[in-house]
Amino acid sequence: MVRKAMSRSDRIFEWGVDAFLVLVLIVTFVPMWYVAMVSLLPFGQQASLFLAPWNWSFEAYGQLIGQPAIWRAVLNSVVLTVGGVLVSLTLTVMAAYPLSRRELPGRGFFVGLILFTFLFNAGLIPTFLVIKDLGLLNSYWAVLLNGAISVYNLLVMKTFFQNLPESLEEAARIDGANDWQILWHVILPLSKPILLTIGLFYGVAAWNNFFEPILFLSDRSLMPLPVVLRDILTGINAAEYVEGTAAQAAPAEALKMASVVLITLPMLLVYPWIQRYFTKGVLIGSVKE
Amino acid sequence: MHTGRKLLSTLAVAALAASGGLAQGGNDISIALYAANPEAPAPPANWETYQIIRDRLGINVRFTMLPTGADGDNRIGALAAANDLPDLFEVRNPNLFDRLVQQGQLGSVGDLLPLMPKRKIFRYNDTKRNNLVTVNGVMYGLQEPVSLSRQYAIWLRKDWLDKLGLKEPSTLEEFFAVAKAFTERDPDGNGRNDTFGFGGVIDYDTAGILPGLGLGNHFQWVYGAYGVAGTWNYATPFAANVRDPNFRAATEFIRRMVEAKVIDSDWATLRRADLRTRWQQGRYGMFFESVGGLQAGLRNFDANNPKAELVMLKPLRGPRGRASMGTFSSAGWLFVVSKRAIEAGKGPAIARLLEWANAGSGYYQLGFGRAGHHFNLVDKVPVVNTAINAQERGSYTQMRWLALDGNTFELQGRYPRFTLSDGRFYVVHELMQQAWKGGWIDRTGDLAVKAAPNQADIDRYIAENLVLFVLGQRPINDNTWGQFIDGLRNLRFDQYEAAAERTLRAAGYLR
Repeated sequence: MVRKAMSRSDRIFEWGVDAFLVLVLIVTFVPMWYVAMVSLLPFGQQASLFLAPWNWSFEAYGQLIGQPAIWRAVLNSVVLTVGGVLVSLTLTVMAAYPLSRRELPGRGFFVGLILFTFLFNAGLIPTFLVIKDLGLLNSYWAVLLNGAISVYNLLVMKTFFQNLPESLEEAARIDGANDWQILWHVILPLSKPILLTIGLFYGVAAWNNFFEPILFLSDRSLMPLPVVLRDILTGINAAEYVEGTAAQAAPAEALKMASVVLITLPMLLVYPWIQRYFTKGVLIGSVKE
Repeated sequence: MHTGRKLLSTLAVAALAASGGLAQGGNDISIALYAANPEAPAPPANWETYQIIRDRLGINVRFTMLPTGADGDNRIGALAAANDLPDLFEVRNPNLFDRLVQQGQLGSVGDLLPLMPKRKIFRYNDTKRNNLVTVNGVMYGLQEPVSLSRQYAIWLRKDWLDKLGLKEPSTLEEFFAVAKAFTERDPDGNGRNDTFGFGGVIDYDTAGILPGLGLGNHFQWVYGAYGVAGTWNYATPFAANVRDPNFRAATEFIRRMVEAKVIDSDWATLRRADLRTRWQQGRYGMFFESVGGLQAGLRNFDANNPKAELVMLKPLRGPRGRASMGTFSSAGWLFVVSKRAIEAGKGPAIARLLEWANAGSGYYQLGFGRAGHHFNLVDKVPVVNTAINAQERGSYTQMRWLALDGNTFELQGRYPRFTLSDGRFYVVHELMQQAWKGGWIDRTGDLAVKAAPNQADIDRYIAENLVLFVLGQRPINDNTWGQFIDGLRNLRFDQYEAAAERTLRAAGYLR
């Protein structure tokens, strides 16, 4: 294959793009690096961007991980995240697929109805009353079902399904497949990028969910990681009337940053595995041909 | 006549108690409190205290912990909207209390007081304090006296003072001179210019003290030295302290500290936790801290600064000899009973539980845990068993604010002697008592003053302007200060001031 030599202006443009991307990398990386460095801060050291490895202290992590409530909270977060992704994806697929079919009677009405909830929110108290009347208070289901379908994600997925060739569906129908079989055997295998992308959106939202557990769960043993970490950090500030806090063993700044690292790490680890589908999924789902 | 009234009230109490006991579910009580130990988990479902309460009092308790801060308020608000409030719960936000009263969600607790006679004598006998939770003659809350307050002070590095050959400051001017020396004369001897004379931050936390309008509680001692600590001047004529010329003078003193760079250069953006880290690192010659905060940080401070010695300064005197660390409130936790609970006849059971928690075995069980395990009673002092993990103790005593009252033995148990690595020690509860003598001004009445509709704007306007003044971003002169005071009129501060005076006069705080 013959490669055409780049012109001088092209090279300058490419260097410009590279320089810009390096700048973006620095702007995004430096705060994360700072968080990591401060989380390793020992007593007696001032927070800075560079901390020599022989000065690192893992005391803040030890303090947080050593809290008895932490592991239960991690388990709760995992349940809420995995459960949340499964419930949300299932419901979103089941709503998006029929809405993507042109032959669905009243399709415009249903899409409008769904869009209405996107623009107008009932608010905190009515939501709480619904959850209460459904008997879901103080159970995982209150968190899993409330807001299980994101309208934005639903529309992206609907557009993705719409863009799949109709001939595939017609062929399956000729072979005798029903709607469920078409969805399960034809549509979903072709929808891996969008499923992983939307799944990541749901996963991040579920992992970071703070307010809904606080609102709907009263049993502290059901609380997820963000709530428990916040409680620990609150304790640091409550030394006026609480004896024995984690801050006695590690600098408060280190504890704060270590909690940021702990809460961010699982999502950071997941992201590279589905990154290759990510851009593809969002792009395909957001363009209507 | 007197005997007749006594008999009648006894019969009424007995009837109330009987009706409560007979009412269906009258002995099942749900309780929601803010975490007493936020780091520790909630007590487990099989918490033995539940069984003890069941055995001793015949009450089934269901306890949940409210999330801290505004999230807790939101949760209570949502529960109120769903008519699902707990039977007995805690309210920390006065505005939320007012809202719940207006919505008719809270029950009258006046009838419960005779059912808990000892608790009433110790905790609810102050008419003025009870007035804070009384609306149209009906008492809607059990306003506890504050159990820990006035525990703040300025702490001084005595070892630095001795090293530089200085004497302990007792006036603002002496303080300034010492702070300057601590900043400029390398008191830690490391050859670097890395120390500050004073460490304090802008902090409005109201754990037992009232920060007043302005720069928060860490600088109240300056305003106290000028006789203008707190928001209101209760003397005649009544006025907001911000209008007093001494308020400007105090602000100018803080500006001097900033200009002379004797205060941590990051002070305006630091938070309390950051301040704690820094004094523990040994960066301040003097700093503002609570006794509890000191106890929490002593171990690290000792590790970072072996041989260092901290002493508590007496409140510093201003130009006219006045001195005060600030203002405080005698009102502590506020417990309320839902109207639904009262109507369901749960009042007597709630009173029985609170009376049990007031003293004796109930007090120790909720306040300190299981006797002989979590603590041991030695000469009336509940000595905490520190061999048991702090989280386990914390989890076991999450309901302790129903019990603890700040008595001397309790403080001795909670704040015992703290021994440093070289054998020297601080007797922390004695420091607590020493801090109480800081010339604190009782401004409990401030809590009766309802927030102005634009309270957030007023708070922000004053705080922002004071920060600009002390940071030197705005000059302080007759013109600029006059503009600042005149600007209050645009915020209808006059009406707020007049309403505060009316409220305080009606509540008996002004003569």
